[in-house]
This record gives sequence, structure tokens and C-alpha cells, in this order.
Amino acid sequence: MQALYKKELKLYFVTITGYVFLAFMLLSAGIYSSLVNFVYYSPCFEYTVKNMSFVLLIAIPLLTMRVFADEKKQKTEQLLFLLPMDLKDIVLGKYLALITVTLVPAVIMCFYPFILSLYGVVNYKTAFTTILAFYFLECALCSIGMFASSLTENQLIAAVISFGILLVCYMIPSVKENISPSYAFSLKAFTVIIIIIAFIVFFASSSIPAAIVVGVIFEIPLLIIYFKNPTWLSGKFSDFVSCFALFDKLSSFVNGVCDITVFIYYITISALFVCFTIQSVGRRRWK
Amino acid sequence: MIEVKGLIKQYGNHRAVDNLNFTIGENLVFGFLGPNGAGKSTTMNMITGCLSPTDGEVLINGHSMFDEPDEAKKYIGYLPEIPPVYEDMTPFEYLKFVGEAKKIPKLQMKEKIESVMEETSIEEMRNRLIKNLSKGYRQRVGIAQAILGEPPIIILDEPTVGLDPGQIIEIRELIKKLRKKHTVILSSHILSEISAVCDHIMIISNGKLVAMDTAENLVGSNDKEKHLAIEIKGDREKAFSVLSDIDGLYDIKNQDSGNAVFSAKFVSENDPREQIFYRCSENFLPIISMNIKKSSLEEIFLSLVAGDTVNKENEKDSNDTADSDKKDGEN
Repeated sequence: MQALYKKELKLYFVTITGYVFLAFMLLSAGIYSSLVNFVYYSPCFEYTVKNMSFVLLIAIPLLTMRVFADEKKQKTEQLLFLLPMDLKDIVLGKYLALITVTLVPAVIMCFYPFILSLYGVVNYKTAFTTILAFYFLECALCSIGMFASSLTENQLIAAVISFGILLVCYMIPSVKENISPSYAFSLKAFTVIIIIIAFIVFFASSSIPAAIVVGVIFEIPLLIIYFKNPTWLSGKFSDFVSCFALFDKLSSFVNGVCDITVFIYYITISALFVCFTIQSVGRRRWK
Repeated sequence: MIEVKGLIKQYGNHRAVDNLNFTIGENLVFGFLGPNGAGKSTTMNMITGCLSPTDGEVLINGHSMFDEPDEAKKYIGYLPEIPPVYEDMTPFEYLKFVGEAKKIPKLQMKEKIESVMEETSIEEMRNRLIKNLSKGYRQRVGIAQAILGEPPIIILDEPTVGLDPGQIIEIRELIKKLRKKHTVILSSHILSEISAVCDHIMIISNGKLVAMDTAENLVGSNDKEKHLAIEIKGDREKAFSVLSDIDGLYDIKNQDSGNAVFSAKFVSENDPREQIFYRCSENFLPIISMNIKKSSLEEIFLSLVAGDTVNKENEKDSNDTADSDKKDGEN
């Protein structure tokens, strides 16, 4: 894993990818900082960080698109499989290199509150915990981008898939407001989600019975709840959707609350998508 | 050293590798021969752990490639069909990465890299980016990667494809050098290459093992029926009638309409050459030349592969007939 980590990290800075990401992040930090802190005379760097989360929609797919897609295209994936490394080492080595690259702009951003302190009173605790949460958000997004990259050998398609997923996550807070709280809507919406899951199971396993079993396992309890205690379902779809509002979780930090559950949430999302990536890369060996 | 048991790879309805069983011993150069799409690369990918089989087992020095991959992979160096090189790295950086992944101790790393670079003659290119190297040099970097850490088994999948004749000879020389310390498995669909460097040959067709033996035995095993070429001075028709009367000689054909040049066949247990000599002498027909044509590896390969194709077609035909009979019966 160590060898792969070193190689990946080196490749980010031998090629243009790492520098483009750094430049993009620092340029955005500079622009947002000028606008939020200097134009509006605010010493709160956390607002800059919160605004910058929008930039990650483009920066993360740019950084992660090549991780596995390029290996597959250049046929170097075979080398990784034939070296004495297991799948876990391959995925973790690459993921650790990714989050190391994302650490660089986060560390540089830590200097901004000190610069701002020259012009006003800065709440360091809020600023630094927001930067830390922002970094954890980047780690979670990197795992999603890496998973998207493992699905295809075309870097552009990988970038589009990860951009699509991140965009949905970004838009959830505004979409959530328009979701009907009625239990009938929740039943329909959850049923659609279950059908989508059953389709994913079908494409992953090529087995119709497996897809049907998964669909039935989820749908029966849903129907039981709907007929026994329908009020329990009201507003549940909205709650379910808000679980995927990755970007929105930064708000509590901006308001000065250091919410440990958010860190755990980001770590869980990262772990989940790292596991998905291991499965996805492993599946290629069966093809 | 390598034991392959009941190896199967199924892609949907297509069976790329069909129940392969073989064992490969130590310090041999083993040729893996087959037409395009026969399943050579798929088999090699499964032996090296790059691809999971649908069924079967691969044991490398007693370690299962699928249950103990880390242990099994230590014994193998593999060059896939397309060298798996990182274009944005230099050969030295690339080999360092491979060395670290193969867990070569740090103190020996430089020495081992230098040694493989010398063996594969890539020292001059050590600091150039791989993307700027020619195909031949990329292939060498790929071979250097495979032999780094001196694994006892080296598997090379079509190592000379796309190289110029000079480079092909160099790679062959390198393979000959490697045989001193390693077991080398080499795949190719070029017969001259296989016969030039391999001790043992395995022929695979449609995912099945068709033959496995030394080159001499393979040629010998197919040589029960001998081909004879005879040139006789004199009347063509008279010579033909003399030859036709000889016991054991069959399929006599006149090769040239002007001269009495014939080709004929006989079974090796029933050699008629002495009889031909005496009968021609009795009829005053001097024999200018008479020799047995030895079948080349090409002919053996074609006959084995063609035989397999014919068998497959027959099987298909009989299935079709059975199906149509069944349908007729139902009607």
C-alpha cells in the first residue's frame, strides 16, 4: 500500500492534475475571501469556507476522474493486480494519496484566519473547525469520485458521474423544501427508490431472482408500515433525502457548533464508498 | 511448480478457457501456442491472478493463487500483452515502485534495479519518461518489471509483438539468458519464435489443451504417416505404373507434368524405399532423388488446431441434427 501511495502522490505532482487542483482551490479561496471578508469587512473565514464548498463540485471530479479510469485505459490495472497487493491495499493506497493532495489547500487555508486577524477579531475556533469539517467533506467527496472513476475507463464519463452525484447532494437542501410530507407520497417515493435498488442489484449480479428478493425484502416492511401506521411515514422521505445532503452539514460549523456527529457522518460516507470501490474494482477481475 | 487444475473461464455463453489441466516443472522454457482468441492471454491472466476464473484452481509452488494470492504472486513475474507501464514515470522510478510493491529490501533496491536494467539494456533510458520511449524499449521496461526481484517463474505474453526483427532477436536472446535461472512461460502465435526458444510446447485451441510435449516429440507423434518425394529419370508414365505396384505406397501424385517427380505417402512401419530402389533398377529407371519430407511445427499446429475446429463443427452439426430430429419427432 505504501508503494502505491508514494507512486500516486508523486504522479499527482509529476502530471498537471495536482497543480491544477491546488491552483483551482487556492484561486477560489482567494476570490471568495476577497469577496466575503474584504469587500464586506467580515473577519469570519468560516463563511468563505462554506461558500467554497460549491467549488468542490468541479474540483473533486477533476481530481478523482483519473484514479481508476486511467489505470484501466492504460492497462496498468493489470500490474496492480499482479503485484503482491490485495484489493484493499490498492484502493486504500489510492484513496490516501487523494486525501493527502486535498490536505494541501486545506492546510494553506489555515493561514487565512491569521491574515484576517490583522484587520479584525477572528474566532479561530469556529474558523479552524469549519476548515477541518471542510477537509472531512473533501475526503467524503473524494471517496465518491474515486468510486465513480472505478466504474468506467473513460475519465470524462467518470468526471460526469461524480459531478452528477455531487450536484444531487448539493441541491438536496433546496429540493427537500418542496418534498410533500404526506405519507402517500413517502410510500411512492420509497417504492421508486426500492425499484432503483433492485435494478442496481440486477445489473451487479445479473440475477433476476436476487433483484426480486431484494425488492421484496424492502417493500414488504414498507407496505406493512403503510397499512398499520401510515402517519409514521409522513415526512420520512424528506428525512431520508436529507441524509445525503453532504454539503449542508457544514452549516452547523459556520454557526459555531462543533458537531462531532458530522465528522462521524463524513467518515462513514468515506468508508462506505471506499468499500463500494473495492467491490467495483474486484468485480472487474471477474469480467 | 505451476499446477493448473480444471481451469474454466466463462464469459456469458462463451467459454474462453475450457477445463485446462497441466503442470509445469522447474527451469524450462515453456511455449504456449495457439491461434488468436484461443484463450492464451485469459489463461495467463488467471495463472497470474489478474483475472478470476469461473472454476478451477492454480497452485504456484503449492500456494493457491486464489486463496493465498500474496504468497503465490511472490513467485511470479508477468509481462502482459500490453506492457503495464506508467507513461509519466521514468523507467527507474517505475522499477522502484514495482520493487517497493514486491517488498524488495531498501538496501538491495538500487542494486537489483541496476541489475535488471543492465539485463534488459535500458540503462541509457533510465531518466527518460516512458511515454517518450519506443515500443521496443517499453517492452523491455515491461520485461524488467517482470524479472525484478528474481521471481522463479516468468510469464511473458507475446513479448515480441510489434517489434522489429533486430529487437525480436534481442528479446529472444534475453529469454535464453533467463532460462538459466527461471522457468519461463512464453505465449505466442508465431511458431518460429516458440520453436526457437522453447523446450516444451503446449498448444491450445478454443480454450482447450490440444497437445503438450517437447517440440521433437510433437513432430514425431504426428509423423506416423511419412511424405516421400521421388524424382526419377525416364518415362513418366512407366515410372508411375512402377510406383503404383509397390506395396505400402499410396496417394501417389505427379508433381510436375514434364519430369517424373512424384509425391507419395507411406506408413512409417512399412517403409517401401528399398523396394522402390530395386523395382526402379529392374525397370532401368534411375532414381535422381528420394527423400522423406519432415513435417514442420507449422503443419503439426495447423493439423491439431484444424482437427479441433473440425471436431467442434462435427459436434455442432450432430447437435443441430439431434435438435432437428427432436423437432421432427415432436411434429
